[in-house]
Amino acid sequence: MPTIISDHQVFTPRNLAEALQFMAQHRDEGWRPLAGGSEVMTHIYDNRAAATGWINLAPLRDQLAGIHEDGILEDGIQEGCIHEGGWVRIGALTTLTELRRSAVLQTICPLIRRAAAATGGVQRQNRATVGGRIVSASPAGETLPVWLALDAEVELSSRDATRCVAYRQFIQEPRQTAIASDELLTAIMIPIRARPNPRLLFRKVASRAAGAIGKMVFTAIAGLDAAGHYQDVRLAFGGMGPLPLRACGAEQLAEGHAPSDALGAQAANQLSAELTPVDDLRSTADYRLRTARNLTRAFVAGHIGIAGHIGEQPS
Amino acid sequence: MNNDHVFRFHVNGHPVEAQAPPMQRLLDVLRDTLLLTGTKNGCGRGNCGACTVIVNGQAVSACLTPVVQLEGADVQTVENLSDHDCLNSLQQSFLECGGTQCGSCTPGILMAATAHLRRGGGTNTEELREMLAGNLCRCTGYIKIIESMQQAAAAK
Amino acid sequence: MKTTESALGKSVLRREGAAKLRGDAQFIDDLPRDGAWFAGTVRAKVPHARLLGVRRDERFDWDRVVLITAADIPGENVVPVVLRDQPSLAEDFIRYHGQPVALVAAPDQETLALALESISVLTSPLPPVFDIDESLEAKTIIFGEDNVFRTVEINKGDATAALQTADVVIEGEHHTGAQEHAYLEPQGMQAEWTGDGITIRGSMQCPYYLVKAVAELLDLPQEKILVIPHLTGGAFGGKDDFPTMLGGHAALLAWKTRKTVRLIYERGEDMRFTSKRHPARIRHRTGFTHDGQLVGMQVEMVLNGGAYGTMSPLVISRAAIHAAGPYQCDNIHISARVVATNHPPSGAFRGFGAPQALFAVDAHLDYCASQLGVDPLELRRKNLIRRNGTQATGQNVGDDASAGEVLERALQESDFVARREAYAEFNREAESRRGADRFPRRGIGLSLFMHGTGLSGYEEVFFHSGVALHGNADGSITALTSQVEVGQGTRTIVAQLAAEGLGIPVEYVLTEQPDTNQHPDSGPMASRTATIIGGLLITAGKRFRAEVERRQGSLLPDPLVFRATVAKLVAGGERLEVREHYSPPPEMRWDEEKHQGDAYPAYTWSCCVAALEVDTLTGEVAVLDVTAVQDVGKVVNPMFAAGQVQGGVAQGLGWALLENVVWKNGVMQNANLADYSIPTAMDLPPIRAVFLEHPQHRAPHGAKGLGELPMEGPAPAVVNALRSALGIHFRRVPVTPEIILPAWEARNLE
Repeated sequence: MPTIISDHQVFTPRNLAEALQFMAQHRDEGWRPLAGGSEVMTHIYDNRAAATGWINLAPLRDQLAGIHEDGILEDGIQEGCIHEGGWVRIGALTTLTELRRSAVLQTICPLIRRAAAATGGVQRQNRATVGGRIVSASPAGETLPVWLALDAEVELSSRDATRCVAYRQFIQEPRQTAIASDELLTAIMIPIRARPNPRLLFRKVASRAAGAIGKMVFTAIAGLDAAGHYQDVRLAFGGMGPLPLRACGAEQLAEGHAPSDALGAQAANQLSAELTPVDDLRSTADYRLRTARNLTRAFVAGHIGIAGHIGEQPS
Repeated sequence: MNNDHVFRFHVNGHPVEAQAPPMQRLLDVLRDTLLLTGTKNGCGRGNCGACTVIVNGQAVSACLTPVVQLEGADVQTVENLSDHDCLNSLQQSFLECGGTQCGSCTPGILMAATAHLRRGGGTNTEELREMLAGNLCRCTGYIKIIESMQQAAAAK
Repeated sequence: MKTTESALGKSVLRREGAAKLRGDAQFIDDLPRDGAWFAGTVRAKVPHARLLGVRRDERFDWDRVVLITAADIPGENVVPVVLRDQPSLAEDFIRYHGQPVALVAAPDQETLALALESISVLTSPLPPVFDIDESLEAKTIIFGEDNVFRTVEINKGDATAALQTADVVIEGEHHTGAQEHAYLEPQGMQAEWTGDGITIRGSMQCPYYLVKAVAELLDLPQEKILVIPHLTGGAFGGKDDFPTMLGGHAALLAWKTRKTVRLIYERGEDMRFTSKRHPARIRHRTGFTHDGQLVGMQVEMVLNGGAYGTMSPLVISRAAIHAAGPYQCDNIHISARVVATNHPPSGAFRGFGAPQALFAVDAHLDYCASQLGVDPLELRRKNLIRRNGTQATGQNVGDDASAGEVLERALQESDFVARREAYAEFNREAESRRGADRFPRRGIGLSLFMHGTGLSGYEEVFFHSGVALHGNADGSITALTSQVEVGQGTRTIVAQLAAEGLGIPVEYVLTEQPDTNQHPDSGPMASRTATIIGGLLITAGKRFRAEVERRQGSLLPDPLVFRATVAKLVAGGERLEVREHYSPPPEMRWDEEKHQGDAYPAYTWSCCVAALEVDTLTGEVAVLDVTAVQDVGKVVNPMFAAGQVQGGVAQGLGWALLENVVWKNGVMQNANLADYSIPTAMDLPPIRAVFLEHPQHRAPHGAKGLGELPMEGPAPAVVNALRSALGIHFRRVPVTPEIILPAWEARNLE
């Protein structure tokens, strides 16, 4: 059917409780949340919108936007480290611009800022929300591999309960998530975990430097213990399949070993067994795999990635 | 089906009551209802930036902003930049530096630049290139757009 | 008494600039809607088929809308461009996916959308042909008897014999891709029934095409058709031939509905179904002596014209004329064909066939240097056209021979030789560096090229360009041309040039939005405003001044006095008007059939240097900077000229590296401005434009064409820079990371 904009109904709740009440009453009637609108509006005008009823979350910004540290260490934040104990809670309606400008996130993990900055242009970053990006689950969504690499959890609220689910479990099928029809994603929780000598990488490979959907997205996090061996390696990808994913085999292969060219090559070879990217209009399976292998090899070998604090000011 | 509602917000300082279906794009409300055609429809998918306007101080794509989310908002469009016929300093710099050619991207770029400069965003070439990344221009190669913005910023 | 200082060479501010910056410059989609109906196009959904008819869903109330098919066309069902092979609405055959079959107009957009959904096109499929070789096999015929829209052959000396006796013969095949214009304002037209005729306003480059086209389509006399080109939001050739179809569609609907009808494309429709740059395959066989003297060139080129001829017969001519590049060779054979396929018709695009030809010849020449073991700079110095050298067409360039000068100046401006050495050192040491610095490789490359000013000899006469000046009651003078403001600064430049001829301040010259009733046909396109039209304006200006002074009986050097005199004469009821029409310089000779002789009155010569860095982990290319040096004869407006060069280089870099049209069954798959990636501000480097001004006597008032030229340099310069960075010769643009990375990895396995 063509786009008939007047067919689209909107319910505007005054607050979260009202939104959840409405969702409970109207579950399975096909209502969908409307956050920043950047994905929803595109889908509507491309006739790809799954719903014609929208729950306008704009009035919930007071409740659902913002970045808060819970249980943060009392003795201050050590720059560039991912801290032990506690969480950073990012409200679902936090915009990508707010992610970019957050001093807290810059200190906890500068990758988040980079991923947010790599998403569209300023206009999109001002509207697009953390929660919207997670729920729409675009295969090459820039922020998604970062949540995966950070072992993030999502907070799902319904009228009757609130639960937390590991982001890794939350994404189940392409463009689908483990959210029930009466649940709203209200926050993403980033565990603060210490890694010694952390090294971080975010790379988006796209057809141009900005404003294009990625061919592939790669994010990597690893610590090096006192002996110089890898600890807590995370290698996460977007665009390498229908879902963001972690290359667990390659992670395990690197774990406990010292960075070297040989180790990098082994990890890269392991990827070929783990990843099955496809050809599409943005790139080829061959190119995606080559790029994933090269970036993984260079990261695991210790050549690329930023060590700890990168000296950037949030802007 | 008539699904029109009335939405109240401000455009260029004036109170507006727009009657529209709730998912109507701000772009259509501006262009078709309020006859503010300075905001251009370049792609309708948020990819080109030609419809950039300022909502509550932030640059956004009017094509991706449903009117239902504008209740009480402050919207500014390119028509609000100049005082009658008198160009403001940013516009004047674009004229003097060759920052506009065909002019289709120009209103969106002016609004993105205005939001950036108002919040004290950086004005070195790299910062401006990043700030401009959501606005496509096919005529200039962006060089003279960046020069225009730098001249305006320096004049402040 | 004061006389007037010349406005030529001054950065006069853009006349319509303030309106564009205030947001009150109206493009076609900005016109008031007042009762206008909305129109849409019913399109075929197969690339090649027999058309059986359309089926209307009877659940929709068809009385609410107006529907037009080929059967309703009162005149001839044709889009008259060059070959007259393209119907306005498909009648018997579908030749490309998206071909218009019917038109619908409705009072509002929702009704229109429902109507378009309620109609289907019935077809019986035929085998589609998408690539050049399949088309040449001619098993399936799309056009004529052999699918060839036009063949152009150019012969100079005896290339076959020269290649037989050459010390070294080097072959190379290069490919270029389709390119989308991606003007920021999509195509659009508004047509209005005026009682006994049609007025059409729209986004277009060539209003006179449309007058002829609509008159034929509606079987109306041309004087009943008024075309008013609207302020046009970028064109680049995309609004040259295509609006002839679109304007015809809008006119048909206005005629049938007796209303005002708007036919505005949305971006996806525009990208999928309007013309693209012709894809090309170009083969070179080139003979040299051992020391690198060029002795023979064979060039065999095939362009993919898509489903209909549009501008292809002219595009292939320009491609052929430019195919040997700015090089002196006594034995040249050029064979150029443009063939039909079931893609949307290819059309005019900045450069008009020359970019494809110039990419191949200059990338190939750089490759030849590497095969000969000669410095590519030396190979160029040895072989470039000098004073009194001859082009492939036999044209003696006389003193219009700046190839050597632009080359040397570009080397100097870009510090080419030192940087080339520094980058080689950087690359040699790469593996020994620590960290991320071990992965990038850097390179610098250049291209040397020329672009014929205006249209080729035949075309320029064909378009018989004209201009007019007339005096107004306030003493100002209006310059009338049909040159449309598409962003290039026509209105301002026309005023500068007319003022130059008139000897008055530029502010005294008015330039209007042209319409086809008042404005003479000044022909369209092709970087001609400052040159051909400029020459006419200057001549007309001088004649106008002489006429005023004759009637006044005295010389009038003071501009204020001149103005007062014009006002007085007009007030006295005198008609002050001067018209000028183009005729080629008398010594110009051109044989269209053999493509021999003086193809263009002058050539713009240019050298483009690109430096870049390749990330060898991903094959991504970051262009570091571009220096474009060109001899344009005379710069009319330095700010506009630099803007043209920077924008053209940007478009050329996009074509070279980023802009990849992904086809599937003849349909562009990435038809949006995110997936079809024109450069953003973050993709582009600093771009320096350097101008040389050697006035050319055969170019009117010395100025040569500029607008198309800068598009042509980046692709060969980038490919040559990539060889300098990676040691690999790439034979295709866009040269994407998907091509670069496997080639680099394969090379390192050797």
